[in-house]
Amino acid sequence: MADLGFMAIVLGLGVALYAAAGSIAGKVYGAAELVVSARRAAYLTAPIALAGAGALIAAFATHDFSIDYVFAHSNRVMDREFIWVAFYAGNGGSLLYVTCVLAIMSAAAIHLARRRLADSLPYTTAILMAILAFFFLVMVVWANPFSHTTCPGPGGSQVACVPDDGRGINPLLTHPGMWVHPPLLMAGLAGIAVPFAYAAGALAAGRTRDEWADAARVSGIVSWAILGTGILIGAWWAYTILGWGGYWGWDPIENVALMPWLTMTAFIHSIMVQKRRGMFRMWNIVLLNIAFVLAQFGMFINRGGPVVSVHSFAGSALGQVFLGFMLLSLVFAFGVFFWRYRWLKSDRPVESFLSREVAFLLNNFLLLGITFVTLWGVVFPLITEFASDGTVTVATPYFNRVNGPLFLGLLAIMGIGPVMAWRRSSMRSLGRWLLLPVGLAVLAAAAMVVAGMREPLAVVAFSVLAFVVLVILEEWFRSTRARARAGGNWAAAWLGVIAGNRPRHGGYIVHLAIVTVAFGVVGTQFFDQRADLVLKRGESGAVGSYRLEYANLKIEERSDRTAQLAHLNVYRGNDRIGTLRAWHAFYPDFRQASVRAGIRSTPVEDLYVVPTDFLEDGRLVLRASVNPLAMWLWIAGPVFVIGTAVALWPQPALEVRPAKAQVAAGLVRGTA
Amino acid sequence: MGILVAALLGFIVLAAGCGRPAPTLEQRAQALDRQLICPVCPGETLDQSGVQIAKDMRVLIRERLAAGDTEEAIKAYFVDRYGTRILAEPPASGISLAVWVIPPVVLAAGAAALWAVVREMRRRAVAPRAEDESLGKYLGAVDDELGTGKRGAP
Amino acid sequence: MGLTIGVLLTLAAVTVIAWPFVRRRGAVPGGPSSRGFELRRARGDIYRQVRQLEVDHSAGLVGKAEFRSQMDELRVTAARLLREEAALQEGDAGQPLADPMARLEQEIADARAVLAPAQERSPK
Repeated sequence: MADLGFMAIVLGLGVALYAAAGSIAGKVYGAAELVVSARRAAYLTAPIALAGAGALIAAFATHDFSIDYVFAHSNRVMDREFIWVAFYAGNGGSLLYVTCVLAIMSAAAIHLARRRLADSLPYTTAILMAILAFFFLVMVVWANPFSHTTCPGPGGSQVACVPDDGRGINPLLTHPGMWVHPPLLMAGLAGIAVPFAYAAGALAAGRTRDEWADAARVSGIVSWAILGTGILIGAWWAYTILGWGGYWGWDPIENVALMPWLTMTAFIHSIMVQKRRGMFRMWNIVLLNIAFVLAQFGMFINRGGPVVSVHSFAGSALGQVFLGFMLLSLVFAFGVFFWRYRWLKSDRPVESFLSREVAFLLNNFLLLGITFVTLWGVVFPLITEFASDGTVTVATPYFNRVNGPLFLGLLAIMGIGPVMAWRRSSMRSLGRWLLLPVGLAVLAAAAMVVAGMREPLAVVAFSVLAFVVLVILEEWFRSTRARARAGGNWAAAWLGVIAGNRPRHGGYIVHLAIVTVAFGVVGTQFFDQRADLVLKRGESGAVGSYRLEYANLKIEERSDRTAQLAHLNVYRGNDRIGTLRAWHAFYPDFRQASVRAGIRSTPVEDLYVVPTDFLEDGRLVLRASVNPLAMWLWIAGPVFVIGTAVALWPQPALEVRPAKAQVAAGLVRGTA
Repeated sequence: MGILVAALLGFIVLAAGCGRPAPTLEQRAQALDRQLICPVCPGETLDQSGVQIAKDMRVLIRERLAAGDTEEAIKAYFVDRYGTRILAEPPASGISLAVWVIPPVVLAAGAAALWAVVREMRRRAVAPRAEDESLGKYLGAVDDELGTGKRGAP
Repeated sequence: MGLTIGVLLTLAAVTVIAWPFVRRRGAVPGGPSSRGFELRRARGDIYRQVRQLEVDHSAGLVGKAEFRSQMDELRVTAARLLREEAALQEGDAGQPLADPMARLEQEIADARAVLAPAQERSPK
């Protein structure tokens, strides 16, 4: 299997290089067969990469410990289903996964655009294939997933060997979230290459009209949605497995996935202005460049290890390679941009401060502001290390404090933006629109304070969220009512409204998903309660309005771990309202503990229990917390996916007569 | 009307700020846990970490708070032993002042630039652009294709 | 066995890549006719936005002044696209394409442009 795998990645490297070079040469010298041949080569990279992946997975399935990667990430007692996770658990395998995904996405991107973007497609192909070739190269030279296992030999050297059993899989990865979180995350980050390649290819070809905009929008939204879902599932994984009741730690690895996502969020908004009014062309290219470079930055941080994190693959010389590629991307992206700079100018200016264009500009400003603050927080400790003796840590409190207001501003814009008209909004129509949502939001704020809420920031945040929701509901109400006047019930009318303008209403549904996430964030950040309990069997302790009784303990031994399962009864007052099971395991080989929190979830709050210590006298040390509104964080996930699907759902084209017939009719009519 | 709304909201928010019950010892300790980093863990606060040394530090914090030390004194104690990297937020002094100052400066500069650009565009936009003559018959054709819609609401 | 599969894979790849040189098929699609198709598509997009604007106006979401201003801009944009398309077709008419395959492809593209877009107006 190692033979097949290594041959596949070497072949992939050759084919990708050919595809890139051939596309450019064929286009520049007008050799049509070369362009077609290069395109086929591009399509071929997908089955070749998949062959390599198949070889690795087969090696896992047959316990082929002659391959170092299989040795390092599996063992004989491992459940077979974790082979999928083991596949991308380490550097080499995850690179192979990224290569497969990128090859498939590139093939799809090239195939789907072959007619509409025919002129720029060879350049787009070349860009995608160059990126792919880079990943193949990294695997061949620095991170070979198929390298042979070595064992210590005579005189301190390493010799090839075939051990009996592997080391096993990292216990933190044996969680359902791990089946989807890393694959989605890596696919989303890799997918940013596609809109980038569409745009840069169009610029290189000299076609700086807007054909690339539709392709970039669709592919941008797809990779943005995949990345966003991956991030959310990662938060869920952290919540249930890391044991401290949190879901986002502003860890450098989390941050480098968030930054491209924020930048792409800015792009998918800003591209709407280009579609509607032909403006912001230059800015959209800049956004794609930034997003792509940030994705490369993420690879560098993830695999180069200059920052410490619970996440990162072990530091290696690979870091410099990825840093180099990131700098190369930066130079190339902005080089192409400045080369074609003049062609991107729009003849339309912004006409008023009160316009949707300005709302989108503010949205972009805030998103990029958050991106900058996050980047600064990631990079600053590295700077201080170079510049002075001491190091500083930049962790959660900093990010919350600085990004918090920016997020709040972003939510406010989310409410105001849809209300603004294109070009110019009159104060009268704005007033008519905003009276109800603002009034009700202020009322809600007053009600919260009267009801006893004593966190000013939370009051403001909840009011803003209410405002955003009310604006959307107001538009839906008005549109549905107008449509229902023509006959039919309101439910059908509302569906008709949604179907009538899918990008817009899909976008509103996504906004509701974001509001839902924010709702959960505010609840858990401002109103959580925690208690550390030490309980004898039969004893109980209080947290929030609950009482937890330690009922039972079960111990399971396995060859690679010792696990303890604690059973707890949950009471509120004198009523027993349920039971919780909290699980704790220790893996001696990895010197790693892993937990599964016992969680009792209601829409109002989560009761979250993790066993932290088992004392010799039989007492159990528990960390218990009450996390209000936590469930809403996860409810947002499906809403987000549905909204994205609606936004991407193609609209039927309108009938348009060709110019010849049109002009004849127009001539008859004379001037308008 | 906007000013009225802002004033009303401000008043409500102020009311929310008052009347908060004083934090208990445990709440103060938990707040401190979130502001200190575990010395041996990669970037985790005491609140997040499960290793022994983090547990010991949490116990120490509670003992000292019970003995009457202030939050500042406890933080200073840890900084003395482990250096400034023990703080989850960099202190606002020396080189780490930059981490606090740079973001607001950059954001303010960005906002100012944005405002200047939009204002400049607005000034240019005020002068109406002349429509070309030749567009006339094409406008007619477009209106024809759009049907009655061009006049306004059907 | 792995080695065998690898060799077969390589051979298949080389075959697929070399095929276009063995069997030449003619010009790659793209050129003046696709530009016209693109202009028509853009005009269709504008028309959809016009319909949406009308719907929004009748639902009270867009004020009268905003409606007028946006509608005027959309009409002008559509007219400009139409003008460019007309100019293009005049230019095309003067140079019949020599290559029979490309000419056939142009005719197909023209026919598609008239027939293919779904014959559905967005509801008012």
